[in-house]
Amino acid sequence: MSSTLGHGSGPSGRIERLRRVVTALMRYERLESHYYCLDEARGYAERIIHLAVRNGDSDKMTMETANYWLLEKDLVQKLFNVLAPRYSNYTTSFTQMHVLPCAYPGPGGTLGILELKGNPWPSVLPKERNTKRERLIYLSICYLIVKNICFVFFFSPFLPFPFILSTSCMHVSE
Amino acid sequence: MATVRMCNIGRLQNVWKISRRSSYLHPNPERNTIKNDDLEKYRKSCLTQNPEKVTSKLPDAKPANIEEYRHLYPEFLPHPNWLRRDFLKEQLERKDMYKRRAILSIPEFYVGSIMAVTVADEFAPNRENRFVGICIAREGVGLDANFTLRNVVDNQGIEIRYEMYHPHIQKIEVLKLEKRLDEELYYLRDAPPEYSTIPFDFEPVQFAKGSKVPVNPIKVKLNPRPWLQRYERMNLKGVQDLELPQRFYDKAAKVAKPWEEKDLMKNYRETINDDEAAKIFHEVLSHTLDYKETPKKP
Repeated sequence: MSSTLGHGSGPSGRIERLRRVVTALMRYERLESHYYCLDEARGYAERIIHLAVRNGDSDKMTMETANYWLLEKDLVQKLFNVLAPRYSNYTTSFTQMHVLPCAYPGPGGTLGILELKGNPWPSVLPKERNTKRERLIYLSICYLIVKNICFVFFFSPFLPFPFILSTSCMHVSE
Repeated sequence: MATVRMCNIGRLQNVWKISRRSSYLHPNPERNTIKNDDLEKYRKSCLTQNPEKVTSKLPDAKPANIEEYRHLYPEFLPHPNWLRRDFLKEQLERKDMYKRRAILSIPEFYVGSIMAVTVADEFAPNRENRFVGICIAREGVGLDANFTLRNVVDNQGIEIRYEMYHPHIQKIEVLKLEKRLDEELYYLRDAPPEYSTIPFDFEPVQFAKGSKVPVNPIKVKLNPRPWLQRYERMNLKGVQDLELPQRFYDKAAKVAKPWEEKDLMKNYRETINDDEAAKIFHEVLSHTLDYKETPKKP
């Protein structure tokens, strides 16, 4: 493997590098690399999967295309037997991209993630919090606690900070 | 104030500041205050409000015969370059093309067919001019669609480029319907005249409707160099061996771009995709494209 493939190696080297990226994407289903390289490879991966979903493995042109773009030949079978059924009902894109934060000191370029949708890896994005629901739960717990405390100390003449408790109680009920 | 009381304690400070600041501007301080709870729904990202939906709808299957119609009616497909596209113009041009086809018969033809075109000409006898020739190119989209006929008259090569939807065109006849091995026959310019000489009284060859259009497998023997184009670099199928020195083939191999055939996205961007083509041909085929002359009543 020459290290000059990709940037600066001309249009034929560009295609050669894209083939490797597409092959790796089909193999591992999630890649981390330079954002712009992945962005370029994304269209090719989408197109190959789209052809496989549309035409199936009986179409000659589709088979030739898959054979050219996937360097490891067991991935041709994966394309038609695993990926094409997975995406047959999709009306959206088959891949997803994320931008990674800039590492310092690092390579300097923007890094990104390219992944196939429906892959077996854990999600890149953190689970989004439903703040409204969490706040309600928090408030209801607070309310229960304060209510119990109030019940215990209600008749006590030596109540510590009775004013604060009663106002916060009122606030919550509001 | 009401706004302060409604908000919970964590955000009290901000709201207080806003209302205080706005009180300088407005006599009524409650006018310009923004409640944090009201802002909350705008703070989410667009994706949480409109998440990408994965519906169970199947994508449309590849329509049949789309490749045939691409060759039969190439001028109905829009220009593949997005910078040149204008959806309104395309629709209006297609309407004009249907109107023109309703009064003029534009038969099926391909590059390599032998055709005759009659054009209105003010200064010609009978005010019309008929030219016979072999179609060497078919280009253009929309109302700009055109084809080029080539013939050799009195040892002089003549090419005329006709616009298909030009109002001066009175009649288009296809005398012999056939295809050639190449998509453009510009190399006939550098071939001996017998390859493009067609008599003006060429008798039309009958073609059985519904049968497959024959491909003429003729291989043209070109004149020796100099040529108008570098034919050795074009991967022509319809020419015999060019008989050039080896250095020409070496140079051709050096500048060749064999990866461009395999470049999926380049191919995708330079053609109209099947979905869009199917939509357009669905509209095209709902119109009557074959004009037939009805016998005039005496």
